[in-house]
Amino acid sequence: MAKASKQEEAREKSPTRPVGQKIHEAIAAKFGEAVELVDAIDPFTVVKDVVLFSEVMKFLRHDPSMQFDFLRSVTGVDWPEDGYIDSVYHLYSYPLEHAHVVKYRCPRAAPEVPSVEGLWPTANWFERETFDLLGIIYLNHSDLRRIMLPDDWTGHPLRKDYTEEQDYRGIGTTRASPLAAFKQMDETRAKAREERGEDAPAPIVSNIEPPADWVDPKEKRKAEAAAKAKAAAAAKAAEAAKAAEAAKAPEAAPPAATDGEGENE
Amino acid sequence: MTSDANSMIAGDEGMVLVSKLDNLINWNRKSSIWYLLFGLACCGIELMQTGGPRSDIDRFGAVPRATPRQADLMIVAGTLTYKMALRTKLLYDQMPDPKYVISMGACATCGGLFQLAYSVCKGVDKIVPVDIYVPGCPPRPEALTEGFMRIQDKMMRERWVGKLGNPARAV
Repeated sequence: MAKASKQEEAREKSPTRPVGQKIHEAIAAKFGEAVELVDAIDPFTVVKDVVLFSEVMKFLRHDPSMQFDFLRSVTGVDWPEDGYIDSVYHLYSYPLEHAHVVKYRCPRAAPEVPSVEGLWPTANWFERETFDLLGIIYLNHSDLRRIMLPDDWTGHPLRKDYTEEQDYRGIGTTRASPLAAFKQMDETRAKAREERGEDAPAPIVSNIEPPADWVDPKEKRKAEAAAKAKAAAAAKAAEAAKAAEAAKAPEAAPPAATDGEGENE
Repeated sequence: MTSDANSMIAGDEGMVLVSKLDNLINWNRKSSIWYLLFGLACCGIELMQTGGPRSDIDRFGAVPRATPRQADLMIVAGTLTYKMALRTKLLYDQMPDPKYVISMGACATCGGLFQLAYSVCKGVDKIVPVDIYVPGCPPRPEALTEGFMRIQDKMMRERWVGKLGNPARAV
């Protein structure tokens, strides 16, 4: 409850929200209910239809009230539980100095998105990167190859269900923890000592005394947390008592007086 | 000469030094280790510092080379990705024998902070044999200088005479 109100508060405070809402109004006026307009700290637009997506992007690029001439980035988000992948476009307009985010939502089984390379040439490399890491296929892309990983890589690593291969070109992808070897070494030494009939060596103890006023920071944090919890419990109890009192006598004391009581505690 | 095995004889004409030929060869080798400039990540900055005026491994006769064909020592400084690992192997193969490898920092040694990343090779010793591991993230120039001196120690222990057909690493 408190969290939701906090979110709402953040949304109210957001300086970019009015701009986003204005853009939302323009998109709604042009395309109606077909696109999903999400109100957030940074309002964004979700499109699910191929044809509509092209229309929306063209509108954002060329309309005099939009003029998004700069594609900041193309990324993607994988939602395996909901069964879709988002292709996310961050747009900025230098002439009008406003920004907007568009998401194209496609099914995870066939993640195909029309390329926006024709509108923003920079999308070429961005889309190659998103293809490389998330496996989104950009239709009509001029050169859809991997850009960062080696060409013979299998899989798309930023998919949530990606599992690493056992090896890449004969190079193993796992490394044993050295701790097991250290443990074994300790055991072997202990056994050898036992056979020789020796005692275990005394544990190493520091001979440096801490200063008299030194407090263990761990203990200090613990004490602070305990004091905080106690205060919170007391405040809660006071509130409950107040509520009970209010229920008993609806015409009871004014709230200012009870507030004062709470502070005294 | 440096080691106890050597002795000096004062002659009429001046000083004569007596030593083993192996020691002479190794003394020359360890005094001019040329290392391959191979900075892969932030360790590369410390590698540059090590070559700089404060730490100055130039005083050991170590100078950076830009080509593996002139290098004796490869200092793998930084995070090694699989894509780079293949190139690392290629560079190592291009170096002339005898050759040495220092694995500098946590990333080159075992993948370090990025060990769980899909693209990072879990240690350069999966690709090439490593002589010295220098721990640290990144190691300070002092640490790398220490590793460098351990390479020199290793060189001094190698034997050449009578083994010229099949020298170097097996010693």
